[in-house]
Amino acid sequence: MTTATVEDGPLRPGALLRVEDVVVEFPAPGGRVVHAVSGVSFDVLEGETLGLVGESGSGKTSIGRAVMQLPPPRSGRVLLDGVDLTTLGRRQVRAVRPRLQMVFQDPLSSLNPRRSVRGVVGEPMRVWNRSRPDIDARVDELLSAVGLDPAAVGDRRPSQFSGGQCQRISIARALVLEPQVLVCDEAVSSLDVSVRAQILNLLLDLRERYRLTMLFIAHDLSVVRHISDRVAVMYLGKLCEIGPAASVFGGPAHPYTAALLESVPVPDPSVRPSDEEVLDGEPPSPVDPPSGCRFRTRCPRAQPRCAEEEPIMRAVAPEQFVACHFPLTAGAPRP
Amino acid sequence: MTAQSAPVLEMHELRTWFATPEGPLRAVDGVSLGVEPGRCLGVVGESGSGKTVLLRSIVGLLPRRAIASTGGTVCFEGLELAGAPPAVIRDVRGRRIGMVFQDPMTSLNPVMRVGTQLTDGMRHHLGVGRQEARRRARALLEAVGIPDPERRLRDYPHQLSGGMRQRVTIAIALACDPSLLLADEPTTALDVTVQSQILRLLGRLRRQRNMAVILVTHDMGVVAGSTDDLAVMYAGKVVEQGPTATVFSATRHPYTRALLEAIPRADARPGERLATIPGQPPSLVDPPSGCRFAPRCPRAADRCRAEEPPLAGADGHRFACWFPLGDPEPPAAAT
Repeated sequence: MTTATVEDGPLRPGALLRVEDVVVEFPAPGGRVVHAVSGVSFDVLEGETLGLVGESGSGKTSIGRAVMQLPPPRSGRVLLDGVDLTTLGRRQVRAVRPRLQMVFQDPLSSLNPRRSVRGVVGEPMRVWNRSRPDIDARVDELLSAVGLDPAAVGDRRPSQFSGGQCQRISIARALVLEPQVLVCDEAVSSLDVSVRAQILNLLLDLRERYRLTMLFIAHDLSVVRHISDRVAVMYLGKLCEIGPAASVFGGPAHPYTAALLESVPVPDPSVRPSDEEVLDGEPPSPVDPPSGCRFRTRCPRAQPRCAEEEPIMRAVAPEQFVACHFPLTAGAPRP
Repeated sequence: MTAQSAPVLEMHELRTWFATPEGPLRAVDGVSLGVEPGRCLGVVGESGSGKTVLLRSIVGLLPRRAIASTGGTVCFEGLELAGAPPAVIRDVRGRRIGMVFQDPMTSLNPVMRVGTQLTDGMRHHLGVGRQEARRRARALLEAVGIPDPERRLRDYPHQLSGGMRQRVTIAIALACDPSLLLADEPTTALDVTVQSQILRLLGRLRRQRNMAVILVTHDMGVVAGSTDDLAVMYAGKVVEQGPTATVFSATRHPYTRALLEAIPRADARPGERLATIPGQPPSLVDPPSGCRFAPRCPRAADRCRAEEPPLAGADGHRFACWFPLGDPEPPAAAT
């Protein structure tokens, strides 16, 4: 195995999933390029859950898809158990896919409306030519595991179920091939609060039961905080900060993380938001990202250096890394 | 309720039933609410609770063919809107009552310049001339925090970012200086940092103009930070209402508490399971007798299934529950 080309420190030896310097680009009109992800590295240990947060256009979904090789990234490496998926041929990638599964945001559109629930959940096993009795037994087990009664729901169609139930079906399908890594892309974002709580509890249960490693992509910080061991914050195609959930949420080092946390409405009327703007403006276009630090155009701490030199990831606390020239340190007053 | 100024809007036993093949669907089923000048009333509830239909019923923005029956009164500044001729409602809508909806891209006309959309209402309702309307439009864009308003007036909606578009729809809603603003999930489609900007803007404009606002949302965090009073809806009815701080700190209805407990809290232990509500909301075509929350309520007793609880209470805090929280548990629930 070649050594990593990234000099930053957040990558750990022995990680189950390792994303190295991944770049994802899309063509834009006029021969221009959307820089969706520009050199992002992180890893996830076995059994760990990494939460990936960011606003629209931050590249968090593109990263999730690059991990799945849907499509493979423009450059960089995605290693599962030491094997670089980006170098594999189509057949080899197919052979790896059962170990990597995904749950999408919109449960109804990700389920085939013409198939029965049993058919939808068993489909991945049929693709792999498993025997009929094996499929039946496994589908029964998974439907029960996600809280559905196989006898009652098996022959019904996805359209006969509510959003929360459809998401349970999607999760059952994702787990039917016993994956090691589950990528959840906004898996609870379209659900009502009370249903969202049920699905989050379900994911926590299944994570224990099947020893899942999860990449949990979401824009909702309270949800990410609840489910993640570690959290990575993205802004405009770059990683700003990564670290243990408690450190990142408790003592954010990147000014963007701090602003993001401060923007979240708190469900407590005694905490009234101040009248001052947390963050001015909106993210610039990923077609033409700013030089240096991509957050500098909105950053309250930006200095001339931020425009000239791109900050690299460095440690600010044990296991907490930040890409900022002037990070917020514990106890320091905010500018 | 403590007597402040007279309410701008007062609904009494408002009812909107939709026609379905199975029979009338009781989307809004006897709701009484009011809002005073300069205050913000939040209406929260999950999908299907009737909060959006309630808002649209006020201004008659529902397809007439779909409605099976309506009832109740809507008194707006001394004018009865329920059952008023369309011409009367049309004159109020957009002039004395402004509206902001969830998705700014679908509420703006994609082939009309921002300036035209902003001045249309003023010229129609207020009869101001082209030059004057243009001048006011510039001032409005400035008031909602849009830089370079002169240029933006000539832009089409697609040339603006999501946050800018929502600022434009707010400017349009305010163009005729309404005394009431109806906002239906105005920040749900926006990123969290932009959401915080828009909520601050709405608060500032409300105070400057002493305007009443009804804010419909599913987000308890948004409600906590932005509203003075709160109504919680479940299955077409208000189950609890009162000053926002009181409803949060001295919650009496089990559904309100369940909603609050389903939100992941910052101080939760890692992996802690969230409180959930068993079952699903009832069918509004054939709602359960008695309290509509009874089939899912941990405190439900025989009386709850037989008799519908009235919305009652003291000091402006009202709740529809036979065995409210804070009172002793009913004997049947203890078993």
